[in-house]
Amino acid sequence: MRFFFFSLFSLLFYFSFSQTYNVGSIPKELRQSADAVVRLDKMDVVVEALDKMTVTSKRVVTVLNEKGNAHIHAYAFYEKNDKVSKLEAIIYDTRGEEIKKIKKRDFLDQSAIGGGTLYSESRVLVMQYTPSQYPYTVEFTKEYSTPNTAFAPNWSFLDDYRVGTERSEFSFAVECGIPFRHKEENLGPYQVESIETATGITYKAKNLRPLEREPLSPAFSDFAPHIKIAMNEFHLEGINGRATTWQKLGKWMHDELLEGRDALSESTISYIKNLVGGISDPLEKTKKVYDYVQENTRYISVQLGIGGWMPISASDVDRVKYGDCKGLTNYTKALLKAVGVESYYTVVHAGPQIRHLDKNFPSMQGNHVFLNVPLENEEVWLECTSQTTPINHLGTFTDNRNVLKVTPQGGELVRTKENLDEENYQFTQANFQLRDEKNVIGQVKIFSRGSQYDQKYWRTTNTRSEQEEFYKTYWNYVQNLKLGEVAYQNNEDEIEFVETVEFKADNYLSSAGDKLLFAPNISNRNLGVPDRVRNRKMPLVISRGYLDEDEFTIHLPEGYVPETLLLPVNEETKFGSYSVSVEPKEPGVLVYKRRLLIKSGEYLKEDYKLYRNFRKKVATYDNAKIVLSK
Amino acid sequence: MKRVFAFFILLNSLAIFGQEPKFGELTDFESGFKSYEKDTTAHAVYLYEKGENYFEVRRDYVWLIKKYHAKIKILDKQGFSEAEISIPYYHSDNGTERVNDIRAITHTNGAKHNVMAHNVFDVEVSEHWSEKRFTFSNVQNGSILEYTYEIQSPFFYNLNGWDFQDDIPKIHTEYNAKIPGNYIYNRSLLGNFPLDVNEATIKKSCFSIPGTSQQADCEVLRYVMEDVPAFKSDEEYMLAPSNYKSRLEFELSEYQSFRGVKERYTKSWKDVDKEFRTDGDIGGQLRKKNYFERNLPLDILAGKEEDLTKAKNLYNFVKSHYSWNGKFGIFRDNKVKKAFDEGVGNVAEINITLINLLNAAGMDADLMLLSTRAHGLPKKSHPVMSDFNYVIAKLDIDGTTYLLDATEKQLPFGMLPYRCLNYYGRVMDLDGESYWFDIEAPKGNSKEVMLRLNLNFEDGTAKGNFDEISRGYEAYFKNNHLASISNQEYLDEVENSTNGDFYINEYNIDEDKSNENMLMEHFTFELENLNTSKNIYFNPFLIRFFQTNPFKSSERNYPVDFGYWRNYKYMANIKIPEGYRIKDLPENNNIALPGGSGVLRFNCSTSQDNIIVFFNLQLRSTQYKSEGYAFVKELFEQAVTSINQSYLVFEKE
Repeated sequence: MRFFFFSLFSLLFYFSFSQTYNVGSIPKELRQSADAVVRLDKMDVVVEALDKMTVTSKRVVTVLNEKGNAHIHAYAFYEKNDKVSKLEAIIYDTRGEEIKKIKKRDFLDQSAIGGGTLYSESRVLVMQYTPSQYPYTVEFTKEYSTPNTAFAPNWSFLDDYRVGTERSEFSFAVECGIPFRHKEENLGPYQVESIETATGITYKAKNLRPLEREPLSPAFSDFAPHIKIAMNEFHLEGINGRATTWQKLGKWMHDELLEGRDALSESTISYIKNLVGGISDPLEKTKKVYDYVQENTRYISVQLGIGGWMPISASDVDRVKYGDCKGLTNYTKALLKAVGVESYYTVVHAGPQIRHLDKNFPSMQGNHVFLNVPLENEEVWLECTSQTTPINHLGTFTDNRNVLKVTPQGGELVRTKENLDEENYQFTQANFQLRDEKNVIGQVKIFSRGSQYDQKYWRTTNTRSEQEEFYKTYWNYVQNLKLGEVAYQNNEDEIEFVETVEFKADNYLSSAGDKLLFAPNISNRNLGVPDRVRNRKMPLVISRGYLDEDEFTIHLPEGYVPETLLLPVNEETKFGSYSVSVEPKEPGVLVYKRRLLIKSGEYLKEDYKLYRNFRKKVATYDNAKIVLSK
Repeated sequence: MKRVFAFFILLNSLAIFGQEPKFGELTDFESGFKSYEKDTTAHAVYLYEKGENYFEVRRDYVWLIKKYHAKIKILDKQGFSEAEISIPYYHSDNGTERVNDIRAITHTNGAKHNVMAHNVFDVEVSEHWSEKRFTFSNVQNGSILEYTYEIQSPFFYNLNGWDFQDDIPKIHTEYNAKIPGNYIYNRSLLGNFPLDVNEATIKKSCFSIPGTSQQADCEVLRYVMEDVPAFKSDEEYMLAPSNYKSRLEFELSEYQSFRGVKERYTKSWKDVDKEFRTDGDIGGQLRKKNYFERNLPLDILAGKEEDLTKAKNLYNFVKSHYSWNGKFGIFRDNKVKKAFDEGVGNVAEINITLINLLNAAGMDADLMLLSTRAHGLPKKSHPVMSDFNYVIAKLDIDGTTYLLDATEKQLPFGMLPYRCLNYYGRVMDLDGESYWFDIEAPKGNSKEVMLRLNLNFEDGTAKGNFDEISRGYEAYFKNNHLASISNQEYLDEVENSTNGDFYINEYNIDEDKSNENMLMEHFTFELENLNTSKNIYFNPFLIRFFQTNPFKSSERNYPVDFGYWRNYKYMANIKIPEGYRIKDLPENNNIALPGGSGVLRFNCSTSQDNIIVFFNLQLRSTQYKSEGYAFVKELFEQAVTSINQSYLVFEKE
């Protein structure tokens, strides 16, 4: 009897897993508000040796509509030393019947060069298929091996917004006895089975519902379930490594990737020494050297083999005067060394969305490097790929996050500085003349700091037509804008950018009978209201705050007096505050004052609606009009 | 007389070779060049650019040699992007082009910096195209980037001319060619600028090939343009920039070998027509009607309906049978049968299927070649096959012509996608001669909003409803849009595009009145938080066709092209609430473009307890010449002002 029971069970097991890819068999809750459903995502990773990792995977995706095509992921990136041994895709129709088989030789083999890269050896094989109907299903199998065990694959149970997952299975095994580490993240609300053995781990999850994208929500990777993996000993393009701490990983980077690459010719050393001659203050020296790098080099990316991780030598950069972030950072470091200033190559995950290097999980992370100069009183940061970023300005690209300083003693995880809400500051001072032909003439002066500086300082080299385009977009609520003189002043020392703009706009005032109407907020309306979200699920995240202050002096048209003035407004919320007032200064002259503070922070999901209401009020008040009568 | 002629040639060769600049050396003018007064907005400028094409025997083969030499002055840091160079070259089963002798020097403050050979990369771009890529070293503000290379090509049709105009200005740009008499090329000069030097002379016995004693005379050409401005093309509503950029185009038309064998490439439409009939990729594909007769349900082809009904059925059948793979593919690799079996095809395969089917059903359908808006207008002077990149079906029923394209699911019978609205094409009549045929977009394209509104100033709300009727292209675009997003997303979009607190309560499409050519939507809505002071200023445009003027540049050097006639109409009927009276109405605004090619009408009036708002903007031409740009811009300016800045003024009784 026992035997019978067992076989019945295995029969059931057999049925449930031999199911076809019939679209009808997808659970309803996975299809709802999804563009695609991952029917099965299975990957088995075996590390056979320090420099051999084999990855076998099968991924079945049912695409429900056109947008779902982006989630098939039927491609294989590969480097020179990788070997893609198996690649195949089978297409099934709605009922799960096979309609096409795509063999490896039918995949398009192309260079994986991204924008801004002159050359890279990376290549990618991409499936070529035009769907003739929706929904349809793609079963994609891939097998490849790589010597680069430094990048053990991580695993995500959910791909993206609007994608459900029916089954997700991942295994990682090390056959050569090298220890490895793994870390579970955000598995909380999900049913995930895991088995851990002496040589590996296995994870299985079922029926993960799709998530809807919501504005101002946390980054997907901050809440989506995934597993991180790292080998304690690894191989990277011909170089072996061993590290379990950030200190050791940094030490390895320093010894294997950086050491000895900062040599410069005697003539360059004497040139740069000469350049800082007579200066003893290390900050002043750093400025001089950074200026030199900014004036003389530019960013060009060339990635060849280990060159994807190792900077080209300082002497090479010195000769051609270009390089990628690694090359330019290492070059600046070498120049600073030549004038007796110590600095550290620093790895960061750069981008407007703040991403940390994981303090508790040392592994190869990050996508960019820049330079840290530890001076006595402060740490100074240099963005060596930019020809315009001032010394020690951390914009939204690298601010407020954990980064890895690579020192000769080893790695050190530090946090870059945060720009406080009030430091992301803009002050707009303007003087406007209204004319009774309904025109406005004005001179506007805008001072920007912090992240608001970040958005503008590089505009100094803009041409006239670029300026026109910028201001016509920035002041898109001012119809018929005619730009006059524009002057920019970049005060690099205070990290402040000043725009002085003259403009004229015909028909800014509207007439209604013998009255004139106009909005006194002529040059800084904040009209962006976040979209309405029904049934918000995610907390509200405002990643960076800012403060705007405005003071406009407005000369009314001859003979007109205000019929109504705006009542003073003062809105205080937990997300920030808004106040505005219009007061007569002298006959025929009004003063408009405005202050808008947006506070960064994470708020409850219920707060989203309140925040939206706040922004709606701001938009309404910024658009509000005054009536003038004779 | 003869002597004079010889003298003339001598002078000419002096002109060509006498002042030949040496690579790596700058003239006084070049090294002293600081700024470009003619265009102070330029980030970089070509000081000098020269191309030289000729034929040469190398290792017993005749090659086309294309030499290039350029010097680019960097005027500011934004010009640094000019330092990244890619040199495309072509390869196929029949041979490959080679890029030889790449040399590149950066001249910075009198010093020269070379680009090393190992810093030149070879990149595969597509099946038939690769690139040599490099970037200059040591680039500074004020550097001069100089480079040269030659392409050695087995493809004689790749002697294809010269681009005089580019995204940055050129001070001197020159094209030289030496073409043996046995190669004949058609040539045309495009764009707005004249040649500053235009010389053509004959050089006797200049070309021979080993093994034959014959010598060919060469035509020696020299064309120069000076101070060519940058071409700016970032504005809306335009045809392909290639229609307006200054360039010289060559197309190989005939080749006569020394053995006397003549090979004709494109010469006259008669030749093209003949080749076309036998070509496997197009002509041959048009004769598959038997295949479709065998593989199609009989009733579609042999039904008893009228031809027009049958044609529509076939059109809809092909539309639903195929998924378009996004490719145009007209001269290569067309396999109609295979595409039909798979239900996936390129433009040519889909539309050739349609033509086959129409013919199989006994109708008169031909293939029409055309060029998309982004690809440029085909030359009418002589056949240039590469000018065409698209095919459609031309169908005649009882004296009426229908142009058909079955690639777009939402496209109604008889309409072409917007990309095809490029004025004319060539009909390839398999039995007779080919001929030009004009593409005329349907004229009845409109967006019409009819709105009824009840205001309640006591609690600051309003209720109303409106019908939005889209016709022609406006209906097609709307249908496309609706098919691409969910209902909820669409309504959010409508709500967000209005000003203030606007909420849609009900939405439906009037299925009875809607068809492919017309879409009628019905909305019921509420407004909240209306301003309710003593005098109430109310903008009656709840739905806005434009938020801003699409024309921002102060001038334009090429025509504005809308592709099709447009008509925007807004009519509102607003009830004056009890206890209030209307104090002021916005001023009327009626203007027209010369010849009635554009009209704006805006007026408000009262009738009993109602305010009637009428707005209409009509564009009754597809194209406006650059001289008329200011008027078109003004027309939109006025329209946008009327929409955004008009107020009804109410006051309490």
